[in-house]
Amino acid sequence: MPTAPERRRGPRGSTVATAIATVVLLLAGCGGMWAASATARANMFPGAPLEEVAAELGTQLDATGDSWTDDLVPEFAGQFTDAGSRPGAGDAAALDALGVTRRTEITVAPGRANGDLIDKDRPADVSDAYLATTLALPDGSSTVLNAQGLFVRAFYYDGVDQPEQSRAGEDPTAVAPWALGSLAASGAQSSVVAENESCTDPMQAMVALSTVARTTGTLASPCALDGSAVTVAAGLDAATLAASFPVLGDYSALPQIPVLPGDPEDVGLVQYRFTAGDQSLIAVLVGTQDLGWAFVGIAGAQS
Amino acid sequence: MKGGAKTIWAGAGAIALAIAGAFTAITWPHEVATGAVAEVPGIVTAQPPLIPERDASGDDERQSIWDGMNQAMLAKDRDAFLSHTTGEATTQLATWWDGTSTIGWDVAAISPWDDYTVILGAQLAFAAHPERGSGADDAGLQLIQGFYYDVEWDGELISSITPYTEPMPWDEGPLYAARSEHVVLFGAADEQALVDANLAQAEASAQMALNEVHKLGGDVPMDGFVAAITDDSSRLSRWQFGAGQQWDMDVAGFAMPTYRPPSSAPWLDPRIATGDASSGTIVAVGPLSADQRSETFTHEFLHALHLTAAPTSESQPSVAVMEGFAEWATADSGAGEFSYLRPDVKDAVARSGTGAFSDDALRASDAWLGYGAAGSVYGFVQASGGDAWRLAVDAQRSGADLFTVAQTQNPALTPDAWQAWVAAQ
Repeated sequence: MPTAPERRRGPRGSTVATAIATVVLLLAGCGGMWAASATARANMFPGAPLEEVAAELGTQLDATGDSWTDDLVPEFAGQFTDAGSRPGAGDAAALDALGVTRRTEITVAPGRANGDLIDKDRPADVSDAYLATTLALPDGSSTVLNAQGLFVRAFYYDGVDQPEQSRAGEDPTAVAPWALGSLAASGAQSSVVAENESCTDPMQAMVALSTVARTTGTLASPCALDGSAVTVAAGLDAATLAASFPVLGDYSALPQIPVLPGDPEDVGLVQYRFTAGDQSLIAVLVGTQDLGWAFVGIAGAQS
Repeated sequence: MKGGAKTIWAGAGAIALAIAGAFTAITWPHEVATGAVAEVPGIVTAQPPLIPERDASGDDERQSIWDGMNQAMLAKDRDAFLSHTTGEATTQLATWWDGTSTIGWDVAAISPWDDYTVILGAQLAFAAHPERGSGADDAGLQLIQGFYYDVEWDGELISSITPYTEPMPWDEGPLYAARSEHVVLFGAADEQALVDANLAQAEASAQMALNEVHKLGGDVPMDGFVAAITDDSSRLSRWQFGAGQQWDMDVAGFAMPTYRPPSSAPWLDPRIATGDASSGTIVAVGPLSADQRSETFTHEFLHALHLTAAPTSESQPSVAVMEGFAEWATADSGAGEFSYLRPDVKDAVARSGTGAFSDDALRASDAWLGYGAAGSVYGFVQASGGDAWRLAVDAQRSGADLFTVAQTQNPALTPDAWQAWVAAQ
C-alpha cells in the first residue's frame, strides 16, 4: 500500500518560525547590548562615584591643607579660600587653637538629572547634598552646623568647552567629576547653654566685650562660655588684649570669616576678624541652645 | 531537520547576531574624557551670600553728608568739610573751624539731632581723658565739647548754621589763643593784648584749682583748662545767655558744660563718647573779674574739675551743689577768702537756713550771700570730719540736696548743726 503522502510540512511554516526566532534573538540581543552599553555609559564617566566624593570631601574638610577645594566647584571654593575659610569651620586654625574639634559628614541623595524626575534617559548631573559639621567645645558642649546644597557635574558635548547639563540620548565628549556646587545653612543644633539672656546677637556681644575691656581692662563677658572670662588661645595674654581691644559701638562692623552661606542664626558659628594693638585676631562665637550666642574664645589669626 | 532548514535557522541566527552586533557597535558609548569641574548653567541658580549684606534701608537720607563732614574733621581737611556747605554756612563753619583750630583740636564731630538741629564740637585742648580700665563710663573715649546749632538746607548742602542758643567765641569771628602748661586762654583776635596779659594769672589759678582737688582726694582725668576772656561785657553776656534771659546777679565769669552727641550714629567714630551727660566745660571771664582774676579763674576752673568728675545729666542738682563747692574750694585753695566768715553771710544762714542758698537766691542781685551760704556747707562738712569732695561729686551725680547727701557720710551733718557751726565761725 502506498504510503499516504506526507502532509506537506512546508517551508512556509518553517520560515515563519525562523523569522519569529530571528526577531526574538534580535530583540534580545539588542536589548542586552543596550543595557550593557547603558551600564557601560554610566560607568565610563570619569571620577569617583558620588557617594565616595561626598565622603572624601567630609574627610578633607576635617583635615589640614586645602585638598577639600578639589571637590568643590572652583567658583564656590574661591568664595571660601579668598576669605581664608573652609565650609563648616570658617578659620579652622582658630577653632583648633581654642580646643574645638570638628567632624564633618556629607551625605547625598541619589543623583538625578536636573529638573527632570521622569526621563531616565538623561545621566545624572545633580544631587542633593547634606553637610553636618559637629563642633565639640572644650566645656563638653557641642553644636552641629547643618547645610544643604548640591553636588553637580558638568557635561561637555560636541567637543565644545562649555559646561552643560546632561542631554538625553547623547554621548558627551567629556564629563567632569562630581563637585560640590552650593551650600546654604539650614540651622544649627546646639547643646551650648547661654549664661545671659542679653547675648542675642553676636556683634552686640562683641560691642559689650569691647565696652568691658575699655572700662575695666578685663575680657569679661556674660556671653563667655563660663559666664565670666572670655577664653584666649595659648600664646595670647588676656590683659594685653583687653588693654588694646578696639572700641566698638552700636554701628561698628567687623569683617566676618565665612563659615557657611546664610544668616548667622542659620549658620550657628560666627568668626570676626579684628586687631588689638598690632595683633590680628579672630573672635569665635557659637550659637546656643536658646538661640543666643556664646564666646568660644579669641585666637590669633593665621591668615 | 533537514539540511535546508538548518541552513535557514543558521542564517537567521547569524543575521540576528550581525544586527545585534551592529546595533551594539553603534550604541556602545564612546570613551568619555574628563571634563573640567565647573559651574553648570541652570543648576545652581541662587545661594545665600556667604556673608550677609548690610541692610541699608534704615540709613539716614543725609548719611553721606554726615559721613563726609565727620571724615573731613578727622582728617583735618577744612576744604572737604566746607564742601558740604553753601551760602552763609560756608562762612559760618569756616569761622567755627578757624576759631576752634586756634584753640587746638584733633578730634571733632558733627551729628544731627533732627533735620534742622545738629550738635557740632571739637575735643579742645585739655579735654578730659578718662583712662582705659579706670572704670569710668567714658574710659578710653574722646570727649568733644559740642554745642547745638540750627541748620538750614539748600538741597544736599547746609546753607545756614547758627547757634541754637548762645554763640561761643569761635562762632563770632577770629580768635587769638595763648597757651601755658595748664591753660589755653583765648579771646577775640582784637583782644590779643588782654589774653597775653592774663595768661600767667590763669596758669596760676589753674594750678591752684588742680592742687585743691588733688588735696581733697579728687582724681580727675584732666590737667588743664580752656578759658575765654573779654573786656567786653556784651560779649560775655552773649556767650553766656545768647538772646536769652539774663540773671539779676552781676557775672564775673562762668563755666558752661558742653554737650556730646546724644547717641551713636553710623557716621560717628565709636571712640567719640555719646549720651546725655556733659562732655567738658568752657570757662569765660569778663570785665567784672578784672579786680578778682585769681578768685574768678580758680572758681571757674574748680567748676570744670567738678563737672568732669560728675557730669551734668538728667539728675539736675540744685545750683548750690556746684556754686557752693567752687566758692568754698576757691577759698580753701588760697585764691580767695571764706565768705561765710562775713557777718552778712552768717546772718543769712541764721535767718534763712538752707533757703539762703536756694536756686533763686544764687541768681539774685545779692547772690554772693547765697554763694557764701552754700560754700559754708562744704566748709562745715570738711571741718566735721566729712569729705567735701565726695559731697560735691555725690550730690552732683545724685541730684539730691546737699544735706541729704552729707548725712549719708554722717547723720550728724544736719542743717541745725551747720547753722550752729557757721554761727560759731
